[in-house]
Amino acid sequence: MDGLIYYPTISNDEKLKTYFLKRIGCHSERTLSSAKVLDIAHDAWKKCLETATPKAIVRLTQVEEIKEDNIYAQGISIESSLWAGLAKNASNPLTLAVFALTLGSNLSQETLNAQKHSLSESYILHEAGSIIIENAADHLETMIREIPDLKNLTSSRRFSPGYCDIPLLNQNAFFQFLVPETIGIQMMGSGGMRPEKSITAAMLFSNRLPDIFPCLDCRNDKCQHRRGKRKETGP
Amino acid sequence: MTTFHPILKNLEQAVFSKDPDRVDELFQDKSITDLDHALIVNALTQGLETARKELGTMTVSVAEFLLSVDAMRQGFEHLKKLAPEDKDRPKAVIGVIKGDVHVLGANIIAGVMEALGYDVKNLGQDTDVEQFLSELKQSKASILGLSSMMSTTLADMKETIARCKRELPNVKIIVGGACLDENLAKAIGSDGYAASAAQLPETLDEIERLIDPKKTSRKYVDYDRKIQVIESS
Repeated sequence: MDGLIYYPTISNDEKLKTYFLKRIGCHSERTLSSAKVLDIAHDAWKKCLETATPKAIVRLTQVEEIKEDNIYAQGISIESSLWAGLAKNASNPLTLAVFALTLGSNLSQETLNAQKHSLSESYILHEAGSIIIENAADHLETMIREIPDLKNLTSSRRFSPGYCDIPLLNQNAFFQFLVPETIGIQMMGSGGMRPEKSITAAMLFSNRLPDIFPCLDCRNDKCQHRRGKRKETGP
Repeated sequence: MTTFHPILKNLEQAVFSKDPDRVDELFQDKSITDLDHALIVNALTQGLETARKELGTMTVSVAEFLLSVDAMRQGFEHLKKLAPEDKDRPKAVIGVIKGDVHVLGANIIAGVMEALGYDVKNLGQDTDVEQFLSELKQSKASILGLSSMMSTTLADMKETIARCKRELPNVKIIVGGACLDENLAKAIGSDGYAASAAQLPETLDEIERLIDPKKTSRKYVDYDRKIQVIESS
């Protein structure tokens, strides 16, 4: 199956903007040392919404085999003991939806340009971009769940190379499978991507999934990205 | 030499209160041309130093602190027009290691180093070892700052450090970034580790002592406010 092209939208609601403002330190619980920060933040948010051009490529594939550390699907294998553990306890058949998403190079260029005259503006644009791409990815997840073959299945949350549950070394497999260069994303030798505001990720679909993320089986109780408490494994 | 002028206090205040426009305004005042270049630099950097301390205690956000950096940089731009560039500033080269595009942290460090009196050449993102070596040789810099946010670039960082030490043994290397800690920084061969902009002056002091234990710091910032300008030895 060739990749499907999607154009997720960015939610332009006040709630998201409030979250952004809070993340850069502009919220009602503290007094700003400079009102100018708030002006820059409003402008940066607007600029980010105007400049970002979310575009994604999505491919579906069937999982063929699951081993201790690997999920083997047609055309891609993903090395992750945590996700393999979760997939092992799901019911068959198991579908993998793999995607790459970018906000495009214009936003990256704006952020780089801003560095020349204002580090503050550049930082704020960078933060706005981070929030916006996660929002676009959330919308893309919804769009993927609407694909007719997946509509009645249970889905996991997205998981991306470079986080604790799936090493960045998997990036190469994602690129070979998706060829995101077709939507303008390049992979660097380190596994990093250009444009900077780009995401690769996968989601599992099945009739029954034991969990939607594998943190519950992870032994690292102190992980700052942890979602939920670890399951008790013995007496 | 005059060590106090109201405009100096105002410049310091403008940087501290994150007001680049006010810095512009103050540079329109003709009396600034009569002031010693070093005093103006000191006022700007004092303002940033106070802001840096606020960042260290998390009294201000990163975005607010960077406005102080912007105000200081604005002042430096005006200074370039007012007076010939100070050629005696200690030189540093900084950049993000090859394969990584996360440049913001390196830019912040470069800004703070400028404020501390360094002449910084910032090579930006995705910089390979040959670019670092070429710039170090050309600028005769004594300090190299390497940044990376990605663990997959650590092998390249280690190799860059090894090459630089082999070819330029007198250059001291500071590293920083999300994928590093103090132990890892030592393990890959660096001379110093800066966890953040707030910690940077202490790291630079240690590095300066490695470069020349007898040399008085040439850095501008007078932390104890005992003197107005720190001269090189």
